[in-house]
Amino acid sequence: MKADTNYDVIVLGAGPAGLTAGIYLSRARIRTLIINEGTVGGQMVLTHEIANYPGVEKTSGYQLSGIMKKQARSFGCDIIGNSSVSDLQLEGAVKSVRLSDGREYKASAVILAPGGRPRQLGVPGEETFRGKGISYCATCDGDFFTGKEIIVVGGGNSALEEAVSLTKYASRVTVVHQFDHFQAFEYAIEEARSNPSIRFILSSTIAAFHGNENLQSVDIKNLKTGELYNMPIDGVFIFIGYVPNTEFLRNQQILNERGEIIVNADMETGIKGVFAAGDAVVKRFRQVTTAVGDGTVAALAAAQYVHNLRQLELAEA
Amino acid sequence: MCIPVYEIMEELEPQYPHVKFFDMEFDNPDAYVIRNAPECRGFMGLPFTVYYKNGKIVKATSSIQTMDQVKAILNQEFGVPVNA
Repeated sequence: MKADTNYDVIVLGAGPAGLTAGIYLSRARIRTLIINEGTVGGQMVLTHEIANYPGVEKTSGYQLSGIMKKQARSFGCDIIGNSSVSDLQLEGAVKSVRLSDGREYKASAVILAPGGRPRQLGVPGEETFRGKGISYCATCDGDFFTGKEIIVVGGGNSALEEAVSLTKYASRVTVVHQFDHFQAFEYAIEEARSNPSIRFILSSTIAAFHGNENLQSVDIKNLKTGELYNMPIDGVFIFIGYVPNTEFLRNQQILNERGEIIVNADMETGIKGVFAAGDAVVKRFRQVTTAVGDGTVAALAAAQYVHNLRQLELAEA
Repeated sequence: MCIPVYEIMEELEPQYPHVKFFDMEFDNPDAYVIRNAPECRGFMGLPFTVYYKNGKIVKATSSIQTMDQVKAILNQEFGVPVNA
């Protein structure tokens, strides 16, 4: 076994939870490797402005993730980005992670922090018109819709806040939401409702996307009456929450029915030496701060686990 | 959505020495060549990723792409790297 493929802890995921775990573990002189499937920083890098991260007046998600990555590396944490896991062995004293390029790494403990991705509607035309009228990022693509009519799908904080933000560009924003009420906080509802450029279609959903080179219209279904009608539209922004990136864990018996990782108060899963943190775990609030808190707890618990293992090995030697 | 694609390109650049990687601000006046390319007609999601071969556009994508998607295009249009 090559020395450089052996670690004390492997962290899967490099969002705020995974990077925080990397910072804490590496600073505690625990050999740590972070493996990330996508961009280091996770969903955080797509957040234009973070104004409620304590101790930092205002920053962008990209800047914050850059600092976290630098901090983790400064303590000696190794980070591999844009690599997918092809095989995972979590049971037993030695855990192993094989990447799709064939590299294999082993560790005494694993922290699962795979995060989530924007939930899709899953209706006909969604894939075809992604980037051609359908977007999941208002900050990135809002400018393309200057003077145009758009739909925002969703009824949570993200949907209503982004709907207000998109009125800077669009001539009219229509919020389409499946329920007859919103899940967002009152301040977000009030701000959206008081904006004259925003109208609402409630108890409805988009049933299909249509167009040629780019999106031209959507079919909207009223979920109470069953009525289906076509609405010409230039763009659709979808903010209907996130799905956990836990498909690679589906055989591990640690997920609930929604695919979220079940953990205890120490962020420990049902498998000894396997911990989890961040947006992929079962919890109510998914924020950068809660991910950082999860990552801290998971790291400290994993550090204790590794320490106990070492003590046991010394006692047996 | 640009940042994830930038990071992918930065990681792939050393693996594809036979491919030259460039990035350009979307609002840069010189980027009109990209914005107005027929291959980018209908694109409404950043980044626009355009693949040139012998001076001609052979592929263009809009919005976020995964590393596997980018590698598939590079391998198909420019060949698999020798050390891959």
